[in-house]
Amino acid sequence: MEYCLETHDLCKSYGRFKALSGLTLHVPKGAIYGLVGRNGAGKTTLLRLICGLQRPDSGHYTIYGVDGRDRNIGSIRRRMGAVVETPAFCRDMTARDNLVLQYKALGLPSYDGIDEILRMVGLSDTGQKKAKHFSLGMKQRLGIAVALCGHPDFIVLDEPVNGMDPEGIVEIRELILRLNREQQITFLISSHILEELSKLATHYGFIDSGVTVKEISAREWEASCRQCIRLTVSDTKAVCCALDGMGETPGGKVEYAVVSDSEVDVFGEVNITRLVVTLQKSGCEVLSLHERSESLENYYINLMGGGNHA
Amino acid sequence: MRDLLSEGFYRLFRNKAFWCVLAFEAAYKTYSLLHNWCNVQRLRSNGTNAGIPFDELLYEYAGIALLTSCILIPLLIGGDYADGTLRHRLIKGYRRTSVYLANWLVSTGGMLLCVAADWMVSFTLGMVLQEEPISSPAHILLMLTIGVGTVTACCSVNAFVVMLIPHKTVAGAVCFCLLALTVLVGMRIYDALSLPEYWYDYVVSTSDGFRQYDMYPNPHYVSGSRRQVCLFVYDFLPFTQSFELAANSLYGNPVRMLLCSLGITAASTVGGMAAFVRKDIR
Repeated sequence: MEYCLETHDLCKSYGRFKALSGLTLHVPKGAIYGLVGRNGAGKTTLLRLICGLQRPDSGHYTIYGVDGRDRNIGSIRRRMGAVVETPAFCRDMTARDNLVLQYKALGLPSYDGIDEILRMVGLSDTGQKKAKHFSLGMKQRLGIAVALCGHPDFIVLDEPVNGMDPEGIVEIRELILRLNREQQITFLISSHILEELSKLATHYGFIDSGVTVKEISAREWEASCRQCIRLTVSDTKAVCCALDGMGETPGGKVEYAVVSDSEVDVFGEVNITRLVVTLQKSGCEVLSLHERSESLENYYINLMGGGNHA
Repeated sequence: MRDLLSEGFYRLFRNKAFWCVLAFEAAYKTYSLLHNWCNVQRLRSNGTNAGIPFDELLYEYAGIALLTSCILIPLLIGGDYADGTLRHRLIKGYRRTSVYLANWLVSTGGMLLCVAADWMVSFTLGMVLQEEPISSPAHILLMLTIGVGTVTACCSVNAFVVMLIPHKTVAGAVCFCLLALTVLVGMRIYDALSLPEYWYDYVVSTSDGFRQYDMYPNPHYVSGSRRQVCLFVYDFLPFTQSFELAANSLYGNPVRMLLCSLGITAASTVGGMAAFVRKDIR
């Protein structure tokens, strides 16, 4: 697999506080990589390091295969866009002027793409309104618009939907998905809103205390936390027989797993009435029945050992 | 670098603080010229043959520029930090030395434009309201060059401070404190250098106007190598340079003053770049 960003044993300390203690991550090309971790886990420090704002104490990282210490890293960074912590723009300028400023900084000869970027982020009708008068959500969008200047193919976003209204969150989500799908832009997104992240990310990196706890693709995660119905019954064997019998129907084989002497997880859709009736006929008592769906939040909490929240 | 400068000047010309400082410089010079012209007119109406030569007030911009640079540069570079635009340039892969140099050039350029606004008023309104200059064009040019050197040196020091202290209020306070320190040191040195070598015991006027006096050495007189050091520091400090310029009389060596400004500019810029390269940006 080709990686857009790889970090190897990154360490960074602020005084006596170790923000990163040997963090290793792999962001595949074309992925939307969700970086998950509680406050102080080292997410922003990692973003600062890969954006060149700070230097690691030890370890190294590569962006598109070029080492962060390499002299050519500058030209590679031109292919990057980022919104780290707070969106970067001049408060006394309009959205359009901010993009003109960015185009100038990038040495882009034509301002043709500015209107398209403003339209994409939903700021095309802000006119002469200065950025300092923008709402929090508009500021976030302007930050993303600034990051989009110069056609980057790797964008780093730190809490991109922070402070946004639900409509804005959906718009930004759709924008990220569209950019990823249509322009193959790789995203590295740090977010506390795990539910939102789960609607976007193709890969996840869970970090805690400056180290990577787990890297997992969205497919692997979905497979490991599929929706199921947990049945608590008096006789699990009867349940197995009943479910096997139901598998003969046109719906196909019903997948299930015996969790304990009295619990069975049934995956996929199943006709509950028919199942209960079948079990009743075979003398098996259904003590309880509830749907289990493991959200990213639950997955994260289980992974971190509970108690800690993102 | 060219792109950074293009962006920097675009930002500068859209900065209200810059236009305020520029307008202040021009307004102050206008006020100064008009105020002195009114005084001259009043004296002339009393029968006194008064007049102010063109080059009398020409160099007072340096002191004002030192003061305003302590406001403008923290606002420009500190604003750049606060907005995150400086951070964004680093994210986009610009070298830190280029970012530092661009910010230094833009802020110094901005201050020199403010000085140019002062000159514009001097060379237009001043020409009309004032008398012929006393000094030669070469001397005027030398004084203006020293002034530019003084302002550039001060801007470099301020840029050094602000690039390393991202908080613009704190950076501004540090710039003011540094300026106040140089004012204090400069005034002490000026006082020390102004002390007479001898005290006059008494003066006797005779009928033919001949004056006799006894004199004895001043124990506080600064002499020898100490005097040389004081003279060097006096030439070295931007504030004392501006003080000399405003008085239109060079106490020290003009070449040394220029070299000192150049030295301060080079040292603060190189030192600033070296420190900025190692700085963690948040």
